[in-house]
Formats: sequence, structure tokens, C-alpha cells
Amino acid sequence: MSELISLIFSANFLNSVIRVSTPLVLAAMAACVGRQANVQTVAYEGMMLFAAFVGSITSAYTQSLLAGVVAGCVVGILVALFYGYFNIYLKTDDTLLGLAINIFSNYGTIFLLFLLTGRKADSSVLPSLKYPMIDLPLIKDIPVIGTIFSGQSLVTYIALLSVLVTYFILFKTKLGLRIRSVGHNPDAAISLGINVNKIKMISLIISGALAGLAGEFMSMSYISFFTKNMISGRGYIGIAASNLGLGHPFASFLYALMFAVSQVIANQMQLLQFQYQFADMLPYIVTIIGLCITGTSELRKERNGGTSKKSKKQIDMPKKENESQLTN
Amino acid sequence: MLKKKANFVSSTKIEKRYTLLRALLAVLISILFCFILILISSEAPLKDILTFITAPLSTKARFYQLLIKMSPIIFTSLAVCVLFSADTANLAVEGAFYAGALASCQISIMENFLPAPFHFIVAALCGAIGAAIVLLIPSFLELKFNANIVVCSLMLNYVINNLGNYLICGPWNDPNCNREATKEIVASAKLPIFLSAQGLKVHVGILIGIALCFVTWFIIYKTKFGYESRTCGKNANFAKFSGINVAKVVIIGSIIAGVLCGIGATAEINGYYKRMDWDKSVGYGWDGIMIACLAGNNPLLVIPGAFFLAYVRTSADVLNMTSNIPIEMVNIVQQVVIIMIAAKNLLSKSQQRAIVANAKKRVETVPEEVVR
Repeated sequence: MSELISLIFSANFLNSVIRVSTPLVLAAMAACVGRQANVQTVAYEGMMLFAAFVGSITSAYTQSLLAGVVAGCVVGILVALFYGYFNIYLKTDDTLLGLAINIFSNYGTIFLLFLLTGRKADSSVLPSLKYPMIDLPLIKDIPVIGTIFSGQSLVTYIALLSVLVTYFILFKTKLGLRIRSVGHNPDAAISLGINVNKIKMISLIISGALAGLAGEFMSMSYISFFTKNMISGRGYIGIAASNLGLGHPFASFLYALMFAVSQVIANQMQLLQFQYQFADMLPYIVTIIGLCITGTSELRKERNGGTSKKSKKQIDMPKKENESQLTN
Repeated sequence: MLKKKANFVSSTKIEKRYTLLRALLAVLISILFCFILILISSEAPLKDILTFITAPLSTKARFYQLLIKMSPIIFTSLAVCVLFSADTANLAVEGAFYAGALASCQISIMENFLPAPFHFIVAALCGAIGAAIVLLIPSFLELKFNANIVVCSLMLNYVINNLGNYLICGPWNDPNCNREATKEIVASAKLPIFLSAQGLKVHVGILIGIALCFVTWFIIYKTKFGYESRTCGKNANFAKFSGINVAKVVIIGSIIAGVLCGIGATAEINGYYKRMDWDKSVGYGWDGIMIACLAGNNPLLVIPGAFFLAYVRTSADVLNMTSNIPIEMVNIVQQVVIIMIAAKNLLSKSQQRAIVANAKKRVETVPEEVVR
């Protein structure tokens, strides 16, 4: 136990937290944009998996990192647009559609992987490329901060930047205002002449690109090839982070870091001969607890007459109110 | 006048007709999608497509294989029907089915425990309790803490997966077995076999499943709970204001679904397997979601739905052995079915036209009625 504690209070630990947080932060940002536009999807997992697959494979066949990156993002966007078309225009249930896309991508990538390489487990036979590791020029010389922030993968810096960019888009641009108005009150948005469906599709494109980057981190930086089902719930954890942060990029970023901490602790516990199955459970359990905490606080806000919007579940009304409604 | 009235079709009836049409269209598209996947990946596409269509009916053994595959799917589909009829987006059925198998297997391996039928019943009861607890967790968390049930239940699946992996590889592992599995299930806990050919033994799990289809149908469509649950599913606020205790409905629904999962998992393990050797969950929960969608949450339609899936799966199994087509094809096609069926606006224009035409016909004849 003391070993674990000494591992936690080291600069290397924080370095791994930043590294591991990359896909979670990017997925959380994707979910933030979606949440602000009231696109309640769980399909980020599928976008990430397809992007991870296509990014890695494309880079292997073209031997160009840029091509891989672009292809991954494009596929993320395509999956997002597919979701958008079925959800917005064909009125498919969000949960079922998102889940179907996730399982589809899980098996679809295995199917394609088998056709391309003849193997079902991973693409390690293909010479795919990795994102470069970058040493930050001045920062790397500062003692502790240098160890924490310098020497990370390029995507990690993109992820950190994406928090600012997402904030800027959502809160400082015309598009962001429209996205938020569509999410907050679609009827009012329509009355102002905003094309709600179009704005939702645009926000899905942004989410798809972010999720695509998150997926690429897994197959082009975290490890250097694609393995089946490699996202393993990171998309869902991203959604949980954006739920906890109530759709605000900065708050969601902090929660994503919190999940990354639990994941790194889980990894360290494995190194110390701890039962790896229990270590693996940790991030998921932390997510469930986190969801309970936000749920409760949202409920409390509602009861205090706050303006917290709730789209679907208004079941949990105070009992007295309900009774008085009935007697009236 | 009466004769004329008989010709009228209500618009709900047209909607129902279109729901059925959508289901058939989804099945058709999924089969076409199968053919496309075969065309992409096969070296002898025509032969393989033919095998795909006829394989499960070609020999007795393959048909029995189909029946064996059908059994667990029926149980999980029923569980999902119960959950979805109350519109609870509880996706922990996958974890619950696995938990049911885990909870029952320690009873099933006890020697000299109880005589034949009772041993299985006790084991199934344990499985039911285990599965029900798993399904209750997300429902409870949503009711009590307002936690997002979709993400919660998905996370729970991962937790159960790890727990099961730990138990099967760790404390419950039989060192005398060369793979990760528990001790052998004793004969008194096994389910009887009613059909067998070429080493393929069809256990009575499928009969229990079909019987439970009728029971679940009765519960959903003929009991007070079922009525309340369907009302919640259609409009939760209306249910609340008409005095239905939504929390109670959700909790009871989760328990019933859990019991179905637990019985199904126990029947599957004790009927088909020698040892409990699932070191991770096996995906029947997702199958259940697909079939429940296909059946429109109607337990009686689960039977043909499960037959369809088992048919496709047996075909894919055969293809996997005779050609180079990966078995993942089925899982891909399953998701296509779910998306097609869940797409409410698919064919909506044609449906709208049919309803409008019907209404017009009605309006034209109304004056005559009034005159008479």
C-alpha cells in the first residue's frame, strides 16, 4: 500500500494521468458539444473505435501520418452523421441507435480487420504509424512541470487545446450560441429562424471529429496498432465526465482528469500484483458513483426551483406536489 | 351502413400494419446485408449464399444446433421485453445474464445436494436472485439518485464482466481442468435432454423458454402490473398523475427481468455445458435487445424472432467452418436490424399517405351516414 502511495505522489504519476486522460478528455469534449445541442448519444464509443481502426490502417497503407489522422477524423464524422441522419430525420431512439452503432463498430472493425490482415485480434502485422512525441522547448527544463507536461504525444497537446477550443466555440461564437439555444429551447430557436436540425448536425460533425481524434490516440499513440474492442468504455466515461461537468468544457475536463487518475491508479495496482480484475473495475465504479452525485445535485436544483433543464425524466417530482395535483 | 363501417380501418390499425411492415423490411434488408458481406469476403459467393440460406435445415444435427442456440436468446429477449415495456433504458441485461450464470454455478457443482429436479430449481433460484440484483442496481440508482441509467448500466456490465473473470479464473477455478472453468456440474443439477443427434443434445431449456414466453405475455398484457408498466412506457407523466407508483413498477419490472435472466442463464449452463467456463460475458443480452425490438416488446413474437436469429447464427457457424467468412457477420447484421426497426420515420411518408387516404375515404362517406 505504501508503495502505491509513493507512486501516486510522483511527477511520473501525473505524467501518466495526462497521457491516459487524452481519449477521455477528447470524448468528454465531444459529449459536451453533443450535450449542449441536446444530442443525447452514446455512439461516441463507435465513432472512436472506427476512427482508431481506420486511422491506424490508413497510416499503414499510405505510410503518411497526415492521411491516417484525416481518415480517422473523417470516419468519426461519418459515423456521427449516420447517427444524426437516423436520429434526427428518421426519429430513431437515441439509446438503441447509439448502442447499435457501438456494437456494430465493435464487430465491424473485427470483420474488416480479418479481411485485411487475416487476423481477428489486432493489426500488429501492419506497419502503422504513431503520433510523434513532442518535447516542449522551454517547459521541459523546469524540474517537476517539465516531467509532467513535456514529452507527451502530439494528440495529448491537441486534447488539452481542444478544451479551450470547445469552450471558445460553445461560448464565444455565433455557432456556439446557436448550438446552446437549440439545446436549451428548440422551439425558441425555431422561432428565431434557426434551422434546428442543421445546427444539430453541425454539432455532431464537431463531436465526430473530436471523438475521431480520441480514437486515433488509442491506436496511434497509446499503442502503435489496432486491437479489437480497444476503446473499452472510454467513450461512455467521456459521456459521464460531460454529465458531471454539466456540459461545460472546463468542468468536464477536470472530471475527465479524475477518471484518468482512477485509471492510472488501476494500472499501478496491477503492477503491484493486485488482482487486475478489481483494478480494472475501478474507473467504471468511479463513473457510476460520479453519475449518482450529479444526478442528485441536478435533482436538488430542480426541487429548489432552479432552471436546470431535464428533457425526459421528470418522474421524480416531490410527492406532496403530486398529491395536491391529484386532489385538485 | 354496417357493411360500410366494416370497410373502415382505424389509423392505429394502419400504424400497426406499418410496424409489422417495418419489421419485415428490416429482416429483408438484414438478409440482403448478409449477402453483401458474403459477396465481399467470400471466394465462392454463390455457393456460400446457398449454404447460408439452407444450412440450418439441411441436416438434423444442424437444426438441433439451431434449437440449442435459440434457448438463451429467448430468455434475455423476454427480460428486455419486460424492461422496455416500461420504457426503462436498463441495458444491464447482458451483465445480469452473466451474473445469473455465476450465481447458480456454485450450487450446480455441489455433490449430493438435492435430488434431480429440485437441485436445478434451487440453482435457478440462486441465478434469478443474482441476476435480479444486477438489474436492480441501475434502476435503483436512477430512482434514488437520478443517475443516467444508460451509462450506469453499461458501466455495470464492465464491472460484472471483471468480477466474473476474477471468479472463474481465481477462487472458483478447478485446478484439475486444463482451461479456465469451474468444477463439473453434477448430474442432478443438469437439465433433461429431449432430442439428440450426432452428439448434439437439445436440453429442455428451450421448452421452459417458450412456456415463459406465454407467462411473460400474460404478465405484460393481462395483469395490473403489466397495464401499469405499459402506461409508464407510453407516458411516464400520465402514469404518475393517474396514481401509478412509477418507482414500484420499475423495481418490479427489474425483478421480473432478473428472474427471467437468471433462469435462462442457469438453464443454458446446466443444459448445454459441462462446466461453467464463461470467463467473460457472452453477448446474449445484446441479442435480447435486438429481438425485443424486432418483436415490438411482445413476448409471443419473441419466439419467431429468436428463431430468426438462431437460424442466421447457425448459418454463419456453418459458413465459418466451410469458408473464410468471419462469424462476426451475424453481430453486424443484428445491429442493422435494430437500427432499421428503431427508425420510426422509415416508411413514414407512405404510412402518412395511407392514413390520409383512409381518412379521406371516411370523410367522403360520412355525409351519407349522417343523412341516413
